[in-house]
Amino acid sequence: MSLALAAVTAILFAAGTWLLLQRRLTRIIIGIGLLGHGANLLLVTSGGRAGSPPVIDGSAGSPAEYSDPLPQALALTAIVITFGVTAFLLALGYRSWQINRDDKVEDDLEDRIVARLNELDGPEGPIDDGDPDTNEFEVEEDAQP
Amino acid sequence: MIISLIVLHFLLGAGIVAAGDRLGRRGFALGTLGPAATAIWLFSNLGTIVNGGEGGAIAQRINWAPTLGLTFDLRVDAFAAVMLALISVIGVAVCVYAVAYFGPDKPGLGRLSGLLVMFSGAMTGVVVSDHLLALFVFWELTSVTSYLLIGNDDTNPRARDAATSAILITGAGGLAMLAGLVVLGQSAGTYRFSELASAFASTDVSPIGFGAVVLILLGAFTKSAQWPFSSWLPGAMVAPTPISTYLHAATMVKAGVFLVARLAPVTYSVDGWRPTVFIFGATTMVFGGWRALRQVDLKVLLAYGTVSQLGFMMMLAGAGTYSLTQALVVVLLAHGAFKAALFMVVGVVDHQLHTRDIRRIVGVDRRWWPIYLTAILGAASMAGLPPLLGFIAKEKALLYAAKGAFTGNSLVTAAMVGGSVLTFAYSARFVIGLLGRCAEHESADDEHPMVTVSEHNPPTRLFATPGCVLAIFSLIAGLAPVLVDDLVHAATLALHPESHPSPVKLWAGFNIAFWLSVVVIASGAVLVAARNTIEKFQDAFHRPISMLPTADRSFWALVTGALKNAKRITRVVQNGSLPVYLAVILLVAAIAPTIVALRAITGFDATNGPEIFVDSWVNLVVYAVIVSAALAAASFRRRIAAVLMLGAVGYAMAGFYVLRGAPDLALTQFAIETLGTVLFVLVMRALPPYFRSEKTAVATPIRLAIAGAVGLGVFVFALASTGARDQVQSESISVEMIERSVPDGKGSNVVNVILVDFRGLDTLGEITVLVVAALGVVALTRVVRRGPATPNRMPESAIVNASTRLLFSSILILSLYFLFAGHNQPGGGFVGGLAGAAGLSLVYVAGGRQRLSELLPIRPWVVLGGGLALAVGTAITPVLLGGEVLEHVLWSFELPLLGKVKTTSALPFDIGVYFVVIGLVLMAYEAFGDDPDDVTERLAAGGAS
Repeated sequence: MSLALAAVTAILFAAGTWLLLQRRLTRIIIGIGLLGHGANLLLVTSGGRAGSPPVIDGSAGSPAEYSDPLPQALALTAIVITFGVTAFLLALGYRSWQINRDDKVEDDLEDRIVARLNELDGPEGPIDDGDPDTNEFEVEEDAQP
Repeated sequence: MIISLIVLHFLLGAGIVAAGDRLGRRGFALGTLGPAATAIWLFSNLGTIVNGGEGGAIAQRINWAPTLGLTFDLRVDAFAAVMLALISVIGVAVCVYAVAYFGPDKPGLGRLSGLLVMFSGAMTGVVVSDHLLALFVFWELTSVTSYLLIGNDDTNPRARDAATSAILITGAGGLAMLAGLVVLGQSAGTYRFSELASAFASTDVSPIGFGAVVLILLGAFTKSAQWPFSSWLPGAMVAPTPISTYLHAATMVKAGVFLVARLAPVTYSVDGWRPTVFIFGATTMVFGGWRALRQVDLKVLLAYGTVSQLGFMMMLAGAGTYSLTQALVVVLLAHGAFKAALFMVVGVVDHQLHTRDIRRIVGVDRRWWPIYLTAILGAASMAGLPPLLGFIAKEKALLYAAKGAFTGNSLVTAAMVGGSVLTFAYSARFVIGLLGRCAEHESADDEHPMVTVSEHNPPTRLFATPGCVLAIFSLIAGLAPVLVDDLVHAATLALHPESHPSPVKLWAGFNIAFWLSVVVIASGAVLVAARNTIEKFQDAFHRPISMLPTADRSFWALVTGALKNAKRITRVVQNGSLPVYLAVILLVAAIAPTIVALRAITGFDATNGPEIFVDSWVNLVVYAVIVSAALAAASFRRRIAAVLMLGAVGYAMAGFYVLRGAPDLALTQFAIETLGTVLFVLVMRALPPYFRSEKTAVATPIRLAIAGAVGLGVFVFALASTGARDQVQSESISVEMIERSVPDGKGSNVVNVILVDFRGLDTLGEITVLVVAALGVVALTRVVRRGPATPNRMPESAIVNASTRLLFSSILILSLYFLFAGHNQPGGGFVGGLAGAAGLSLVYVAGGRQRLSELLPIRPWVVLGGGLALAVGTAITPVLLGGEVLEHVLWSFELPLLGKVKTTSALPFDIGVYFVVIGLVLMAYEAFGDDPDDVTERLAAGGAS
């Protein structure tokens, strides 16, 4: 990988990260798209040097002359999945518009509520009322007139 | 056959749970079938197992993943038969007893009885497993069922706490044990119990190591309630008495002892095994006895007695000598019988008198004689009095501990004697208390009145019988030990094949064990006689140390502490702001690999020539487009412009793929970018045109810094990964894929062959994800119920209409070409589907959703689901024909006009992919395709939610 290509990848990731940290869902989706491109760049270039297309037609002599097909297959999968994810996120944005007329990503209210909860809630240990008289039929005894 | 017994238990149990309260306590009657089936199977095969010597064991193997060496081995040898006898016979007795114990309409009984049957199945699995991992699975199943059984009364906080404590302690121990078992299996080279001995016959056992031993023993100690992990067992007494009888006295708690006994013949010589087992066993035996002596609740008294006896058994099991193993087998049988019988007595007392407090029981009643008989026989056996089975067991243990040829045998003997004295004393306390001689009239108040036995009804015959039968067994087996001798002998031989155990006898002469027994009984009698003094002494002893942390209190301090800290941490890290979460995740993702990557950059040398800076000058043009478009997408405030810039990055990426020799990727990227841009525009037209400036939890400079850090990290990582690639010595897997593509995959486009053949399952997973995403899209956006597609409001353009007609058919043909040629030329299902979808997009742009549905009368989800079904069908058809998943064959056939056609069965798979992609895009138009104004109107009209 050349320095230039590494720099391109780095810029794609940096721009994607920047967008991911925004409040607007649209910008987040664009950021995810850029991150996807960056990841695909990394994947494809991990196959080593460029070669002839991996279509076996007798033009290349040894397997080493082809581009590595495996990262390509992985990247192809990644591209299509990113498309599916983008479509889903767009649907989220569309829904957000239906409800709020905007695509702002709000804070997680549930988390806020959890954070405000009293930390002393919850089990404090076993019930020990010092009453050794435990039996399994008290309820029935009370039920009888 | 063995596995069918276990399966029967689980099916029966699940059925009873499902029937729930419609069955009520009749669930227990039905549940009897499970253990009864085991008992019938066991006793009809007992002759073979006991008399068959080493070949007598009945084994069954079920292959699970044979290529990984994973099998499911079950084996019933004589030792397992002893445990099976306890599980099945006591299981039947408990089920019968429970029918009488529970009232007819207590809620939750169906569930309780079903779970009890399932537990019985799991316990059966534990003792018949011949594979270390199979044992672990059943082991944890007993923990889980025990948890559910203890906590069955979920409205009772005491029950919930006890259940939590039990599953946390035994569950943690079980996990430690798993790690230990894996070490054991790896160092032995086998995971089968029956092969462990031969695996270590010629080699040293020390590679197992003390660490693994500690891990395994943690599992055994927690399960068998050894000190300091014993606190959960007395707590578990909150469970209904039949449950306590079965799980927490007779069977489950013996699992740890059982495992230790199975392993000890091999592991006893690992450094530290015997001292560990002896120290914890001895402490448990004495500590449990001491605590039992202080109890006023009959059931808790028995629970501490069980703890004490488990310590006793742990010492016997862990010694790893055949004579003590023999003693253990007798103790297992004796303890199972007397402890179950005594628990049943407690249940009867609780049921009839509504108390278990010995300070409140007054008087005796002649009609209660079966209960008194059961209690006296059971307690006598527990105390080790002749002529009961418990006496024989204790004699054997004391004799061989005293004569044992191992370090520390005198201390072990001393602990056993001490523990036995305490056992004698608490056994007596149980009987004396039951007979109303511990009554403390001054302690009575309105809430806790005294209970006179004669004022209460005696138990029914059904209620009294099960315990009585077990107690009488203790007597008969004690008087005529020859009844159990064969089984004991065979069980000992099963663990120690070369040994010659002496027969089990009631009277073994005036040996050292006899004199020790005399000491035990005499000292025990003194303790009983001086019981008031002892009680005062115990109180005086415990008052000053009551502030010290007990094991139970430490456990709960640990649990509550963990919860509190978890909440504290949650409050900080889970503060509700999405950017903060992302910032943390991204920073970690950027920094952590960079540290490693920085050290991995090697051979990056500027003297390599200009290639090191830029691979080729044509590429530089593409790079320039990518970078400028990406920066524009990140900074533009006009929504649609930012989106279009993302599209520009995508097209430039397609160009890059062409230069890299990746035509499939280029085609895919090109088609996706076109479709993606259309989808974006459809959604963006509804949203405000500009991004307003916004306030976030993370300040802009920090966000910029994070973005920079991520970029820098990726830069280093990219350079390092290049170096890593050069360092790989072995041949790349891709070379093999290229070589095998034509002969094995029957296609010359290697990328496509990988997608539909070599990695076909991945593709299947991927299109499933697409289907799920498409369903999510429609589910999210179509919350507002829709009528038929609304007519397009945009003015129609004649030019667009005409060119659409012209182009649509060409694009469709192109997409079909991609699909069919894809196996040998660039193309394939994804590319073809995307191209076809692009054609459909054209139709949408020209005529809206209405035109689209006119053209394609099939609903989008039919296309989507049909595609997935076709792909799955193609994948599994070879399996039905006896092949493997996604095995492809070459087809060649004649078609009219086209002539001879060669294709492979990968084609239907690719067609499935094609339709899934088209379906996804159709779904997107279904979701976003309506005019935003129409949607707004509809929302306003009502359906808004």
